[in-house]
Amino acid sequence: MVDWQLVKEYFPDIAAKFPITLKMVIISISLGLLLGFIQAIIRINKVPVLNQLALVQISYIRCTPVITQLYVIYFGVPIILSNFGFDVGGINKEFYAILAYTLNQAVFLGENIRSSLQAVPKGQFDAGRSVGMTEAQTLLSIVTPQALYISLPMLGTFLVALFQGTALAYLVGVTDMMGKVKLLGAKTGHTLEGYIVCAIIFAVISIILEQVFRVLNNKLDFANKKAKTDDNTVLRAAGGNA
Amino acid sequence: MSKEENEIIVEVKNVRKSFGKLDVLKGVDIEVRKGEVVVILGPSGSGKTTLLRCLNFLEKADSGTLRIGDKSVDLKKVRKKEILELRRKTAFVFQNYNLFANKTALENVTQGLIKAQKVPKAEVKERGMQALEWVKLPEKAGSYPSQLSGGQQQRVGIARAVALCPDVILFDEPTSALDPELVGETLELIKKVAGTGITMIVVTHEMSFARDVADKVIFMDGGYVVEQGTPDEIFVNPKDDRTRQFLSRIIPPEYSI
Ligand SMILES: Nc1ncnc2c1ncn2[C@@H]1O[C@H](COP(=O)(O)OP(=O)(O)O)[C@@H](O)[C@H]1O
Ligand SMILES: [Mg+2]
Repeated sequence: MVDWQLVKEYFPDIAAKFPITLKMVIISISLGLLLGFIQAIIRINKVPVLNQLALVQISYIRCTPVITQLYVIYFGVPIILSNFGFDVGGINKEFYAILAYTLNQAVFLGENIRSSLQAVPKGQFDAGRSVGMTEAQTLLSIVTPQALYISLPMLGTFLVALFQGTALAYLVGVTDMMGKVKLLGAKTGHTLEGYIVCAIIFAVISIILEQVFRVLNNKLDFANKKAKTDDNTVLRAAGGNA
Repeated sequence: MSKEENEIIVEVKNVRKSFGKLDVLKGVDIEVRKGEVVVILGPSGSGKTTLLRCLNFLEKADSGTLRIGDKSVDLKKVRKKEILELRRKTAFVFQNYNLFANKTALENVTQGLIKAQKVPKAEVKERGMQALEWVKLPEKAGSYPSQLSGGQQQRVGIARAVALCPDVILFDEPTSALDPELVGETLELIKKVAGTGITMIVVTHEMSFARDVADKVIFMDGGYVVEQGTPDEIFVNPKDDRTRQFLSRIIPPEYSI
């Protein structure tokens, strides 16, 4: 039987670790976006050498489980760093998790950014240059905003997936919500209640995130300012308040 | 109406352009005098769009020289800075409008003024609205392209080009994507642009427009300028067989002279 009293008791302790999850998500997605944008530009312009390196990295990230990527970073990076004379003892475990998630996000976001940039009609680029803007100005003020709108649904999906994916970080020793459940379980012998708390928190936050992206999507929808009424799949995914 | 003594404002010499193995422009020479309306005719695939795009540097020609106003370049070794400078002397009206999808009608018109010409903020909005009033669309200033009809989008496209006050406006089949009932009013608007005395190069299949408005008609085929002259010379007495054949295909018999 589930001890609901225990669920209630666990809740504040576990929720207190939410900021750690949040921190991993925010840093990984921000750095991932930055690196992903660079990857997209490299891929679109087929920059020699860098393009090939990007392709290798993309295959690696796409074709291996996240947990493998986590362990490779967790066990591999200290070896590399200590070869360069760094004292790895002082490095926070979160560093490894954030590094692994950042590299993972960079690949997926990068491919998403690339396909979104390429989905913007070429005529938009022509028009930007024809009014006398530089290529950089055209990219920034015309093409990127449109690509951002195109990429938004996928961006939302990736963000939610990343948020849930950070639940693995306890495996490299990060005391996030999941890590806290393990500690509480070791102390009291009751783990199910802890995982129920985690499930509730993950679900609620995921639904909120999806709603935020739905609102954002409507806000940015220059292609169709009138509210969309036919997009049932989005509404259902976002919690079914249609 | 005589512009024959005006200075030559656009001078295209021996311009060549190929896409891979396909030679699209095989040495094109064109001269346009200030204030002239030059109409370019020619069958599909003859290189008309590519020529306009090379003049606006949306495409980089392989060789030849181009002079616009007092700026002249060798197209083989033209530098980025020169491209920007020359490009800013021309404006382009596209066949499929190419309005910025993420910008309102007014922002479409002001974008180049703000980013390229650095017009002071206070002045920009006024100039943008003036241009929209000029094309009779001030009430659509806040609308996005997706909320405008094709005809309205092309009006904004024309306002965007006119607002830049370029030396030359390049029109690439500006009415060929429009519903037939909108072609007339858009051509009227383009005539109004011509009436301001601005230099224009217009690719079109609208023969009545060419006859009424053009100072000079250029017939292109297979990447060459085959023949050029006044509308009368081209329409009444075409010298080249290819011109005759093309005109007989495109001009309905009841209009032929
Ligand atoms: N970007 C491009 N890449 C390859 N071929 C092109 C490109 N643009 C135009 N062409 C080719 O060049 C030729 C001339 O095209 P275009 O200038 O559009 O002719 P027109 O405007 O007279 O119909 C066509 O055969 C066309 O397929
Ligand atoms: Mg064409």
